[in-house]
Amino acid sequence: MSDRTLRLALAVVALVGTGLATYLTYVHFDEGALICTTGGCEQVQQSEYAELAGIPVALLGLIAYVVVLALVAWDTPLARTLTAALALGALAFSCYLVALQLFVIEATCVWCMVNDLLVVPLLAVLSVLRLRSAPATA
Amino acid sequence: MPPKPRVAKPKSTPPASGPKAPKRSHLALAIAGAVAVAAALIVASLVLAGGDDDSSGGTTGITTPTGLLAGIPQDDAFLGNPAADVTLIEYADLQCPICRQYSLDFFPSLVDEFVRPGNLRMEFRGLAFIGPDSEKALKFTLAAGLQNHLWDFQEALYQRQGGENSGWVTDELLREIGSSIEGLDVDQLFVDAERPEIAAQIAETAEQASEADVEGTPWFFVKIGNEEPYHIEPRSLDEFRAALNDALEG
Repeated sequence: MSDRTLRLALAVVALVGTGLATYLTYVHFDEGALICTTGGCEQVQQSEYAELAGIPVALLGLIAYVVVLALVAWDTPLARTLTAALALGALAFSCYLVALQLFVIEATCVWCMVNDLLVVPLLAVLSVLRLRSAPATA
Repeated sequence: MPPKPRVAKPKSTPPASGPKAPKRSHLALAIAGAVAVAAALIVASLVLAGGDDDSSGGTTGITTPTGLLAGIPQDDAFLGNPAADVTLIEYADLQCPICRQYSLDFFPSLVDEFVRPGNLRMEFRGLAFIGPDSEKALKFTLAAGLQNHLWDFQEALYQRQGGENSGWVTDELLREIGSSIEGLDVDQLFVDAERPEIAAQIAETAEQASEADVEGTPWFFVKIGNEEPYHIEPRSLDEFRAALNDALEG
């Protein structure tokens, strides 16, 4: 896969993630708008883990996606490294959030699961592939 | 995928000079950054969630619930003047943090401004969807309703709310709360909580909530006289006031 394709794919995945995180941030404040097929969305949204120091976790995700988009646009070796660092960090945090849903809260939110198990891992794989295939510009 | 040459080099080869060295160092840097980011987030999440438990579920003294509600009639799940034309129906889970927030931030003002003057009646409809602690808390709250102390009991429970399904609804806590409510027979409370009627009431309310399309808690309906209740979704005390004043003005 060419660097150009990887960059485009990263941007698309980050955009999808931005959409998801925007929706989850919105429903954090307006639960009436929550569409849920797993039945546990409210429980996850209302759990004590849904916020970090008063900031909704979904909003942190939204900020991270926006930063990734900015880094993809910036596109320097440092930006690629930072993108991979952010995406891999997000991947680890997503694993933690999935474990929380399954074993602590004992409820799953379908939107969170799509983000944690699909979008974030995809972002991590693409950002690492891009870092590895980038032209060496030490 | 990058093209050919990668196979040739054994893994143990030290990354000396050459085109791969910077990529490896970038990747190592990214992994180090990722570990730092993830560790910070996970530790913060664990510590802060645990911190909430301490502040809400700790053993700090409870304010006497009868202070806020003193002198206001309680009849099973109802609070306030039985002749009031407007009823605010609340679906709540006693483990739900937003229900607790409502109870602490909005409920006292609504009681003072609408219930105490006799204009508004409130009805509690308990749900137990969060888990086992919800169910236990709800059984005892409904049992307190049999002695017309449901509202005293639920307010005291919210003040002591702990982490979801952390086992915070202990017999000791329930006994302590029960003993703090004047006129409540605690031994009877423990007997009543296990009555099949209470379990049936919980199931019936869950059914009612499902039919009424209750999507979360707290979830509010306003009922005027014998009319069909309608859903309201106030997000601030002022929005509550506006919704209730609208209902009172008919």
